[in-house]
Formats: sequence, structure tokens, C-alpha cells
Amino acid sequence: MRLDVNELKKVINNQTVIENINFSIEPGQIVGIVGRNGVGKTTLFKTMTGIYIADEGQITIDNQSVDNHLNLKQDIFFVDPLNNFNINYTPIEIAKMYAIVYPKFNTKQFLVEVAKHNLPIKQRVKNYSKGMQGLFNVLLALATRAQFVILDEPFDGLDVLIRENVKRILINAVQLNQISLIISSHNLTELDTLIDKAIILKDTTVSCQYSLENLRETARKVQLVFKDGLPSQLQAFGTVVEERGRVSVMVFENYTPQLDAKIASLGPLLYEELPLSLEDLFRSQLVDEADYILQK
Amino acid sequence: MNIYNLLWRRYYKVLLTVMVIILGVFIYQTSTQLGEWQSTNTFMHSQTFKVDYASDVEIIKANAHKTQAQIQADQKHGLNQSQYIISDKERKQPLTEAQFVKRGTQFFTKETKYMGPESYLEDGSHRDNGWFVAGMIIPMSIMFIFVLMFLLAEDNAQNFNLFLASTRFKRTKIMLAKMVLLVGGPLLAIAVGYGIYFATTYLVVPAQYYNIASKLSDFSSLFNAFGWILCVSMLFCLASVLIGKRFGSAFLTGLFLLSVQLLPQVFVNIKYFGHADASLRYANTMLRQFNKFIQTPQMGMALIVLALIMGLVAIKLFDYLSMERNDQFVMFRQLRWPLWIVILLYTAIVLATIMPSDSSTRELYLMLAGIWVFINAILYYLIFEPQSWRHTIKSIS
Repeated sequence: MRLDVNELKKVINNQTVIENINFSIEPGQIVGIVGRNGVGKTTLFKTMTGIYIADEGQITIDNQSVDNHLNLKQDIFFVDPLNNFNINYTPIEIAKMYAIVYPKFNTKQFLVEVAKHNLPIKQRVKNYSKGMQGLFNVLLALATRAQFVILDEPFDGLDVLIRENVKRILINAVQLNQISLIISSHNLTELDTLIDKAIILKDTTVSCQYSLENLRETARKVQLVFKDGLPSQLQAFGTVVEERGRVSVMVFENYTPQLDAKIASLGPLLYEELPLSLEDLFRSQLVDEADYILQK
Repeated sequence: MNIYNLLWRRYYKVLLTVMVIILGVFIYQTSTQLGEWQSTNTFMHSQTFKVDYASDVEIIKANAHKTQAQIQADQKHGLNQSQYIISDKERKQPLTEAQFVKRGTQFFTKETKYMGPESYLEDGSHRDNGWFVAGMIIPMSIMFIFVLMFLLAEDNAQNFNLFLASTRFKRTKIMLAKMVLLVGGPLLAIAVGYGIYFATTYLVVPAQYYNIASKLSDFSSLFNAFGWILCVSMLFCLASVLIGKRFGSAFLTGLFLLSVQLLPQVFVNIKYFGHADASLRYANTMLRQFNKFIQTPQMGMALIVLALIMGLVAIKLFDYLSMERNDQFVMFRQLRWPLWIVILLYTAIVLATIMPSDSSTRELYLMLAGIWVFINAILYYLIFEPQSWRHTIKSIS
């Protein structure tokens, strides 16, 4: 199954929150949706799932419009962690309700998993801690056996052990069942080790999409020191993500041998390659926004 | 597995409680009324009653030459020791024992102008179940409307509607299923309750005492009441799609329903504006005719049609409802101005009902104008949520 988001647009209170959103998700893919606060990540998820009605565009699964084939929605799971009705119910009650909405829902396995992770089965979810609620939502998402699971900030509020646990559960589910995950998170370090593809939202739209595997082959993060500061001609090839005196850290998305030769010809005092992270990409994309230039 | 299963899971605790209470009240009332009737029936065929009746006849004969004032004076001083009201004041003569027993043992007692409830229990208290046929639906409906208000408000407040919108179920079916369960369930319980009542009484009470024919007019009232309940229910369903704040729709619709009864007075006020005799405005045939009309079966039918229209509008609107304003007062942004203007005009009309027709009470005019401004300012704040006001109010608090 392949999910396509085509030209999606949503206007709220006369303000365009998202527009021209296009991307696709393949089976077994983990996609990270990255963007600054308020850029429209949750709006995108809610529009994808039909909670918000799109002003333009559509979602298709295997080229069939979800709006016209509502049964396809049983293959999309999304739960808004902040505005969630199910906190008023116990896991057993929630399982019974979700089993109606998602015909492939495995109630028995879900309850076993909930108990296995020491989540009180007879307590209402609102009595759980924030971390427990996060873990619960992940277990619920996977129990639906939906092909496309959308998780909005799944690592928010989780301690380091539960975080690792959640990541392990998610990776297992992807490997075993070939489901696709669409994850938004501000914890880029966590996403970095999890996702195959990053979609960066900026100014209401998708600013770029990266396959992390390809990117790691072509992109470089380099620390440079020049005697008279960073040459301006170099800035056209990459993005400065950090500056400390004469020390500049740059991200080059397409680092070619020609570029390497050009840097060498400019005679840097220091040239050092640093490990490239998702956070660097995030910074490189958002660096034109004044508050995001790191000046240490 | 369908939407009805899902909604039943959501509402079953409250719905079942309401339905059990409704059925319980009907069963209790049926049992009580049958018990009272049997007690009356046994007593009125007993020797004790025969003796008491004969004694009363003697007293009536002894008082035959007295004026009504003398009889009342005797009663006041305890000299008139009659047990039962056995004279039919319209005919000015005592009923025969058979007539009296027949009247007293009819199952559906009714109140008359002179005599009050006509049936008697052994201990002398009155048996009155005449109110039941058309009357019982009112307290049951009030309870069910409150529950409907509560459940619809909670669906908005707990973001359950957001969840429903994300499911594979068609939105029109979701709204329809909500109406069927939340409105149809309690109404079905009321209908079953009446069914139990009429079936049980029919089976238990012998035919000669089962005077259902005397209650036929009550069935038209019952139909009319059904129309009102359905209409009010659908109004709440419609409001729950338009107004999103927790209990916002319940609050606004409740106020509207309370004010609706004042509307006929507005037309009378307009007709008699400036008339010297203010009493004309309140004791008017126009009002009486209107009050009579709203209780007719024709009105009941009109209300059912109106309810169906409101139900269809609610279903259609829910289909178009994008949930981004779920926590705001008006869920359709484009309806904010129309709603506020309607409220502005409506509150003016309602307040006009208590507007004096002469110009002697200027203070009252000012007070009504103040109330009107206050109500509409509050609603303006709720509907438009102006940020400048919000900051001011927050800084004050």
C-alpha cells in the first residue's frame, strides 16, 4: 500500500496553515515530519485523517481517494495526544471501541501488551502519567494494525528507558508487519536514528524532503576556519549552521569533488568533517530565520 | 461492526440508566395505579361502604330543605357528617349507589369542575390517575432532554466528535446514528412504558371499568407532546453541530426554549401598543387562541415536520463540519455574524414582551435596554472572542 498526499491545503481563520503539501509514503517506511512550532504539523495530520476538511487536495491510498473510499481510513491511525477523548476510558473499554473502528484490531494482544508494559489495565488513561499515556498511544496505534500510523510527538514526556522501549516497539512493528510510520517530533536526535525520510515543513508548505540514506552519501557537515573569516563565495554552496569567532560550521547538501577542490583552493586553516545529524538539516533549512542562527 | 455499535459503547451507561429509569417509573406507576384501583374496587363493593353510603343518603335527605349556606355552615361546625360526595351538583340530587360505585370504580378517573377526583380509597384519600395518559410524558421528557444535552455537550468537550470524524464511518451516518440512539432510545423507552401501562391495565381491569374512551382527547395531547419533544431534541442536536463550547449549545438552546413562550405576547404587545388599558395585553383572546393552538394534534404534526427538517440540516451540517473550531463557541466561522445578528434581534423581540405600553416608566425602558446590551455584549465576546477584550479581562482578573 502506498499513501499519497496531493496538493493538500488547509485554511483556518482565513490564514493558510498548510498548502501545496505533496509527499508519498511507501510500505515499511518511517517518515519524519519536521518543522518549527506552529508550522502546521498537527494540522497536516488532522487534515490527512479527515478531522479537518481539506480546502484543496486529497489523500489517496493506492491511487484511491480516501474521501471517496472511507473504508481506507481503517488503514490510517492518528490520535491527537493533546485532545484525546479516550483518556476518560480504561484500556479495556478503549480496546472495545477501537475494535469497532479498526476491524483488524487485536484486542487480546493489545491488552497483553498494555499489561506487559506495566500500564494499569483497570485505570482510566487520564490517571496515567504523561509518559505512560505516550506509551499507551503507541501500543494502541500498533494494535489497530493500520498500514499508516501517524504519531504526533510520540517521545514527548517519555523517560529515556521508555523512549528506547517505544523506539524498539516501533521498529519491530515496521520490520514484522511492513507498516509505515509518520512521526512528528521535536526530538530530532530520536528521529535521526529512526526515520528513513525527513519531510521538512516551512512557511506552510514542504520545504524539502530527504531520504536520509541518500543524504548521508551526498551531504557533509564541515567545520572550517579561514584566516579572514568565511569567504562569501562559499556560502552559496551550503548553509552556515554555527559560528564561533572565525570557526564556521557549514552543511553542504550536495558535496561534490568540485566543491571539495574549491574549498581546498580557498586555503582553510582548518577543515574538519563532523557527523551529520537531522538536527543539522533542520538548522540548515531554517537558518534564514534570524532566531535560528546559532551564535556561540 | 458499525457506527451504532461504537456509539452504543460510548453512551450505553447513561442511555441504559435513563431507559431503565423511564421504564421503572412507568412500571411503578402502573403497579401503583392498579393496586389503588383494586383497593377502591374491593372497598366500594364492601358492606362498610354500603352502610356509609346509606348514612350519607340520610344526611342529604335531612339537609334537603336547607340552603347551600346553611349546609356549608353545618359542614364548618362539623354537623354534616357525610362520608362521601355522593350528590351530583349539576343534577342537584344524590347519585344512586350503583351510579356512585360505577363512577368511583372507573379506572381512568378524571377531575370535574365541582367534585375533584371522583374515586375513593378505603382510607378516604382520593385516587387520581387521570393525569397519567398525557401527563407522564412531561417529566420523563425533561429528564431525557437534560441527558441529551449532557451527552452532546460532552461529545464536543471530550473531542469525541474529532475521533468520529477520523473513522471510516460516513459523517451523515454518524450524525444519524447519534440521533437514533440519543433521541430514539429514550423515546422508545417512553413508548414501551406506555405500552406496558396500557397493556397491563387492559388485561387486569375488567372491561366495564376500563373507560379508555374518556381519555381519547388525551391521546391527541400525547401526540402533541411527542411533537414538542422531538422538535426540542432535534434543536439540541442541531445546536450541538453549530456551537462548540462545553455546554455552550445547551446553554443557548435552553435560554431560547425558555424565551419561546414569550413570543406570542410580542404580537399582542404590538397590536395593543399605546393602548390605555394594559390588561388587554395579557387577557387577550389572541393569546388564548394561540395557547390552544399549540396543544392541537395539527401543531404536533407541524412540530414533527420541523423536527425532521432540523434533523436533516444537522446531518448535512455535520457532513461539512471541519473540526478546527471544535472548542470555540461557533463552529462554523462564517455563521458568527448571522448568529449574532439573529440573537441581537431575537433578544430585542423577547425583551419587548415586558415593555410597558405607556411612557410612565422610563426607568424600566432603560433597564431593559441595559439588559439587552449586556446580553449581546456577552454573546459578542463568546462568538467573536476579540483578543483585545480577552487581554483586558485577563488583566483585570
